[in-house]
Amino acid sequence: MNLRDTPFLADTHQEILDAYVYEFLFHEEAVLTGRRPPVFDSVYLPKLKAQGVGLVNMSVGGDHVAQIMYSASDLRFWDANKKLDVLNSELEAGCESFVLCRTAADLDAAVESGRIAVIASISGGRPLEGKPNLNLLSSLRNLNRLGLRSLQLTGNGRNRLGDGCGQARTRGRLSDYGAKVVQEAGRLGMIIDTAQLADPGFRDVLELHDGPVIDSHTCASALCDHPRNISDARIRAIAERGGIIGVSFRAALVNQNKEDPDLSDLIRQIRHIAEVAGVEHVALGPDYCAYSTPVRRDAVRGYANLGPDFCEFDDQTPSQSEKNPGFIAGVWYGLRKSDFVQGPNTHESFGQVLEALSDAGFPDEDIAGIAGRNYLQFCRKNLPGA
Amino acid sequence: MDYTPLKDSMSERALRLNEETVTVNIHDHLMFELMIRRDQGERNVFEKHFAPNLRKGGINVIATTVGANSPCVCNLTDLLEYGSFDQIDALYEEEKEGDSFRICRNYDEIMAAAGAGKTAVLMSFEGSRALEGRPDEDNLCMLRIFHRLGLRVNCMVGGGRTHFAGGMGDARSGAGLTTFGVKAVQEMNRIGMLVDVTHMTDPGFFDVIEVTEKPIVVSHIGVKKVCPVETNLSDDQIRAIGRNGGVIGMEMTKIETRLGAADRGETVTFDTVVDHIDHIAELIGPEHVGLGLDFDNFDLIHNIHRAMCPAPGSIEGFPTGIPKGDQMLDEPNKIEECHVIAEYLVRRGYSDRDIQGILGNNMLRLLKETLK
Repeated sequence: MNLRDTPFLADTHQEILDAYVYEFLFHEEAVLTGRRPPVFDSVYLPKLKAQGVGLVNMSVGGDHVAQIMYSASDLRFWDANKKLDVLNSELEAGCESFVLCRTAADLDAAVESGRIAVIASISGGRPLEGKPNLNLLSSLRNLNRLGLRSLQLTGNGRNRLGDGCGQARTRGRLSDYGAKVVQEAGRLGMIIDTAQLADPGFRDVLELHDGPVIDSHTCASALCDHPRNISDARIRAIAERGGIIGVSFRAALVNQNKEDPDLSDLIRQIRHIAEVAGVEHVALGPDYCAYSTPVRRDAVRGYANLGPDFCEFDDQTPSQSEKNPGFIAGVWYGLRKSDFVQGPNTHESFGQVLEALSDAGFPDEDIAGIAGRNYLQFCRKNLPGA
Repeated sequence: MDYTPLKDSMSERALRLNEETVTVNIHDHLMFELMIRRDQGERNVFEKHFAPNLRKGGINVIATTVGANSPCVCNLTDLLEYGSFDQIDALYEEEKEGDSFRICRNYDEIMAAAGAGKTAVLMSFEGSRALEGRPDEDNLCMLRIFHRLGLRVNCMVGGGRTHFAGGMGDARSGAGLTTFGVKAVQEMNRIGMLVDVTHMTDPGFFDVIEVTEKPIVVSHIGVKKVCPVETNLSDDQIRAIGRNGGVIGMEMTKIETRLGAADRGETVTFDTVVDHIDHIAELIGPEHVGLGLDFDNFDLIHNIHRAMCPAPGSIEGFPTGIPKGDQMLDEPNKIEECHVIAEYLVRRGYSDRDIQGILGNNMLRLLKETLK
């Protein structure tokens, strides 16, 4: 790499590693009684170390079910609570390699001591919904008490808060409930994430919420007109609020017209978003997760090959909730060999993006911002002070 | 342990018995693989992947698990009712997509399907959680709705406690049937659904025996005398089934056939299952024995029983952890080898009448007496 020093790295969106949750559940009793060390260090930390990140916006659930056999559940409320319990339990059992950041002070302490700073988020508001006939905020507040700090309002589909990009045809804004959630989350000092939200909902959020918003994993529709991507106007609006755009590494979002988009396509997206938003508003949100579109035979084996040996598939396995191969919640991602751009398609190869940015002529200063500092500063400023 | 597979040296008599008998397997898990294949976009999966093997194995009637107590048998969803509906729907779609099987609701439909050379498929549940309905109400509407959709065999419990009764995981409570459980058994009797008591603890088991006015089934099990595992039947239970007029479906996983054999990597064939059959026959007669093979050995899913234990506590009462390797008997190991069962019975001196009974007639008699 041409960079003088490896900068501080951050990831604005990844799903909690399914294999990690699985391993914890498998050894829960031993960990909680001290007969076994926390499993974060052996299962998740190596991935994050290989990725090189010091700060992660980590999704502990949301609208979409990934691997129900292991850690996820169709009962989305239960799912998010369980994953937050895993993180909290590991910390209580003495895990010292990450910090579940509740405040800016937690974040600073994590960065200073070289621990992974985790911002817990949900990618979609279904876990908050509570009783179907009442607009209750108790789930939001309780998840917040357990450490949830970042809130993405919808997935691709509709939930009781609003409509995701896959439901843009409704032209709907947020629901009454969604509006209440946004206001309450703002009051609680949570970070509002508008990723996957349809445009009317996005505009609604800006009206309801005074603080900054982020889009944790997206690309620009100016370069790739995919439903998941956002317009330049929306990019500008996020920047004007002092927000962050985390650039997704998903092939369909980076360049849907290519079978195998690569780093050059990703760099084009980053450059465009930096030009529109200002480079200080750009970060990286690759969207590494335990599901992808179910097309490969080896992915099918991921279903059948159940158990810890499943871990070898943990970056690319099929969504078990998906009846339509190639779609996620009604949005077409394509039948691809890899769901991510060629190159930085796993935790381990994340660092390739920095080299590519450098090779593409981005100044070191800008790279350091994109790589992690922008999101770090944002979190410092926007997490609750104490 | 050495063993010589019998499937290539079948006697004329065993071949004839296979030919002449409508063979019934009262418990299996085809749906797991079927749903995964459908989710991947395949259609007419039954005709392509299962029907040829069932024909080869000489099996004419199956009860297939379309729902139950845990996500692994409910199309991998925690919303068990929804997952069960999903699988039932898939089976109806499959029936239209091909011509290899018919969904059957009663004895006449079973015999008509078998007579036409189709696999007769009964829908079954392994555990009743999907039938529970509202958590605070003992409402039988879901039981009747699933019956209308074709459910004909219902296992009262899976591993743990349901609103109806307790499974092995609920042993310490010593609880028998709940009042809701009693109502459910009576309703199943009335509407024509076979009561399956597999996995029940003693108090619940004997409650069912007392409450039911119809003969019942233990769909997939062994006997404790031969293989002393928690799940298997005690002699008292076997005698109770005899008095009830019920039938015991012989299970084909190693774990319930010979204690520790799977862990030790030992060869186990149907010959050991015949030890179980001998014991039941001695206590109550061979007319109470049938097949409940519990096969989980498919192209994609090599071991559903492995899939059922993703983490501790997820399958109540079952040993947790991931069993390694093939849990099925060495012979027959796959559905397509099941014709060999007749040969094992022949070699152990069973009469034609007994063998035909075990292969299918006993279970058919039970289905005739119970299904509506």
